[in-house]
Amino acid sequence: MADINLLPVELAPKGSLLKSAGIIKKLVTVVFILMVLFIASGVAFAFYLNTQIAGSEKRAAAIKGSIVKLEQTEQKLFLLKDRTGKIGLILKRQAQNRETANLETLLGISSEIVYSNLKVSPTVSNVVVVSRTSSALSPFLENLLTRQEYPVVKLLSFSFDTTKGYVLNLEISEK
Amino acid sequence: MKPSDPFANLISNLVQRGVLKVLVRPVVELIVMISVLILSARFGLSYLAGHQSVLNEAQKNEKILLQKRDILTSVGSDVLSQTSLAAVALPDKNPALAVLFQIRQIASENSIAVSGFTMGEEGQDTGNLSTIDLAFVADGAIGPLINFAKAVQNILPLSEIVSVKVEIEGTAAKAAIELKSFWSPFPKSITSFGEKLIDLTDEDKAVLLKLSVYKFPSIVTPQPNLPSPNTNPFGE
Repeated sequence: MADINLLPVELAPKGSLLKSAGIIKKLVTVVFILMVLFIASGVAFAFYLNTQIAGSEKRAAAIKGSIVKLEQTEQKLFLLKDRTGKIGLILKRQAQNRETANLETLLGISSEIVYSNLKVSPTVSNVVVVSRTSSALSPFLENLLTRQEYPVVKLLSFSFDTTKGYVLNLEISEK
Repeated sequence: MKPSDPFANLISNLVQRGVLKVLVRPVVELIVMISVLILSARFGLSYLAGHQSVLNEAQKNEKILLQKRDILTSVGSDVLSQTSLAAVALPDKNPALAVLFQIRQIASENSIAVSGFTMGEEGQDTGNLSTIDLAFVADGAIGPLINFAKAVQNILPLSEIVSVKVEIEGTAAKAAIELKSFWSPFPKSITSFGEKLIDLTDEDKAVLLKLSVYKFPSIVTPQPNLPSPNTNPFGE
């Protein structure tokens, strides 16, 4: 039986409208496929992530167990690390500390003079020397002044004692 | 509906031309689909990003733990045995008594008489170090006295000579020595599981090597006498 369209011809949709409707329907299909693909890949990726998280947590728990067994080693290592860091600081200071070296050097400068008083400290050293003759003082001072480790030598006092001889009070500093 | 209303006219016109019938359904479907896609993308991506960061965190934690375990299993027992050496070099309590013992021992080895041992106040130094000032007078021949002063610099617990004041008369000398001894409380807690453990560096090993030339205190702990068998149970 033939289809009978009772609607007036002017009420029938235009061709361009039908074409637009077709394009929109195709777009709906594309968007639907995209959505399905997106949801499917999202679910798959979420599953993969959850599996990975569970695996990583399981492995971490196993490692934690073995670390607990090594707790004493960890304590020793931690203590050793703490001590060596601080000891390193003290050793550095000791390396810069020249008190006993200064003492030894000063006493070894001349055998012809007599040392009466010596005070060595990190910044300034004081030396009181006594000499029977003035001729012994000259090489002592010359030797002292040529030493690079004592760039500053101050003569604090110079006196003559009839019983002791010449008495020199010197202040020596590294800077 | 008034025929003069422009909106009503437009609708009526569109209905008459079949526009609404043909276009409304696909447009509504498209809008719904796009909305659902946007919403699912928004929520899905935030969910996945959250889980990705959880995974990253878990993997980072695992890596730290693995590194920690590797360090703990690979660290040599010979290195760990130096813990006691390091603890003696820098004790957790005021080391004045141990330093006094060391000074007396070195003095006796160098034929030096030590007297006037005084202890100053405790202080704080850089690097979370506590200090104690000590002073004493050493008498003896000049040569042994210098050797003594040099030996004092190399004792454990670690000490630093602050000043030496020497009075010389002939070959005899009297030295007033000021020392600074160091100590530092032991750490109260170790790193937590999630924290990275740092292995001993070459610098740390060099420090331990340097300590080996220092004089270790040879304090002997007296042992209690064991009961001896009584050979005469009726005697006194």
